[in-house]
Amino acid sequence: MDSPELLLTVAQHFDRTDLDSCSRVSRKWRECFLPELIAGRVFHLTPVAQPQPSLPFLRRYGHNVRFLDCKMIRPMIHSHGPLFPNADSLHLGSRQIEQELASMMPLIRHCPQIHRLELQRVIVGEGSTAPDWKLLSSLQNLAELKVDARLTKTLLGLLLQNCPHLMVLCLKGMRIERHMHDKLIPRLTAMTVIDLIDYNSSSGPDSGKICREILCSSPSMIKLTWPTLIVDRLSLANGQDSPPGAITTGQHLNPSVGVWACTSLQILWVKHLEWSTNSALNGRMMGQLERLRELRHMDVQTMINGGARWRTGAYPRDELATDLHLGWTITTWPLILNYSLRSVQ
Amino acid sequence: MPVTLTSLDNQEFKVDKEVAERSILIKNMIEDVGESDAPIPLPNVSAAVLTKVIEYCEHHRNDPVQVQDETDDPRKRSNDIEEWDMKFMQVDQEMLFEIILAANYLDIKPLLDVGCKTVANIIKGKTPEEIRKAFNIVNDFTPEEEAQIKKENEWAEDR
Repeated sequence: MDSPELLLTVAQHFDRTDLDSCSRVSRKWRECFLPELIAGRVFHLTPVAQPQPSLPFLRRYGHNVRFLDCKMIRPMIHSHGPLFPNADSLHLGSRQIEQELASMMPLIRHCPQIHRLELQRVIVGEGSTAPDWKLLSSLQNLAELKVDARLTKTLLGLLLQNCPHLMVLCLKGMRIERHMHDKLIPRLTAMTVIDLIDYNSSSGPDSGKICREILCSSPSMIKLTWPTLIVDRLSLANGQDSPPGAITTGQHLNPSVGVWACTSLQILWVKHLEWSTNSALNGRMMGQLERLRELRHMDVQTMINGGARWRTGAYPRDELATDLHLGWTITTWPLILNYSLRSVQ
Repeated sequence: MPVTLTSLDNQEFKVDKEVAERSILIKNMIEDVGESDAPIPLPNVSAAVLTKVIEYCEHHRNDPVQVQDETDDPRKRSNDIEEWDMKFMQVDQEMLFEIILAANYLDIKPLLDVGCKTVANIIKGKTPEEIRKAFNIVNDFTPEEEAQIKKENEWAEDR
């Protein structure tokens, strides 16, 4: 068992516990197994009070880090060259403390290859010329971005223009003006997944506005091709007094726009799907749902005012086909593979 | 058509072409050279090991060729080994490692997999000290290094 090549081949069959044990056997084994252990795990850089890896350790093994979780940047990160050149997934920030994006830039600069970036409770500098934001938008390989920050539409535009591979976008807590710039719309519609709703922070109304603006304000929405849509509330029940965060279109609903324009939608996750007490409105809602002929997966957390047609449960396609009560589902959505309704109020 | 393989210790083995071609290395050599009666030299494999490798290839001569998929993560695969393969791998440690190295050299992916799984199964669930005993490895860490290692490994753990 002296051949590093052999050890590395064997390492492919180990889980974390075995890799950990093997990396403690001898110096030679450590050289083989520790990089494997690091590459397969999330590497944490935690607040100052907790023990941290030494700089020599980071210099030696940092290139093996693939997944990096950094709650708070330690000063030592700032003054050294790229420590994590091969990291492709980076989570920055913590739920507890708001931090300036600028303070995280040294670390992002050290991870030029990242595909997936999550920024939690960060404060982004105003203006598209902010150097920190410029750097962020220069991440050419970025494919997935989750931001819990107050971005302006200008900053978002810069990002969308400069990150050609960006396909998954979650904009939690984003502040946006009433009118989205039209030129952003085509880029947004090219996304694979868009999650525009903030379930947790207090910025729900803003998120609702984003949905309304993106889904309902532009004629280009008719060409929507998003295969996945995650929404907070689907409703035709009321328009003027829609709840915060709702994408209710109410009386202003144009059947050719909004969620209903996503006729190629394949996955629909809805937190609240609200029926009206008005049967005419319900008929329209049903008609709109029936337009989603490409739907493969539908997951509704709560159905409000749901009728007898809807039954709670999770149903794979085979069970949908044999359940008379859900026969409507399978004829309405011929490609449906999974249907799930958690609760009816 | 039989193919002649020559081991490290100059012993010759006549095997069917389709058996020999379970080795991608040999398959490529045959393709490069074309039809020939000349023996194929395998200077990295001893006769004892080559005997075992040929036994494996004979048994698996009709298996579908394994297509290598770079996205196939071995960690997600089972470490289960077929009964015949398990008995085949019941050899002493030295022979086990020789078979793995030969499988690697000859490019016989399924044999390499079985060999590595066998070693992995020996190691699985063992402490560092138990692994050292199993493979007769000397602990060359100082106590200070062991303390440092404990810290370093904690940083690489999920929290």
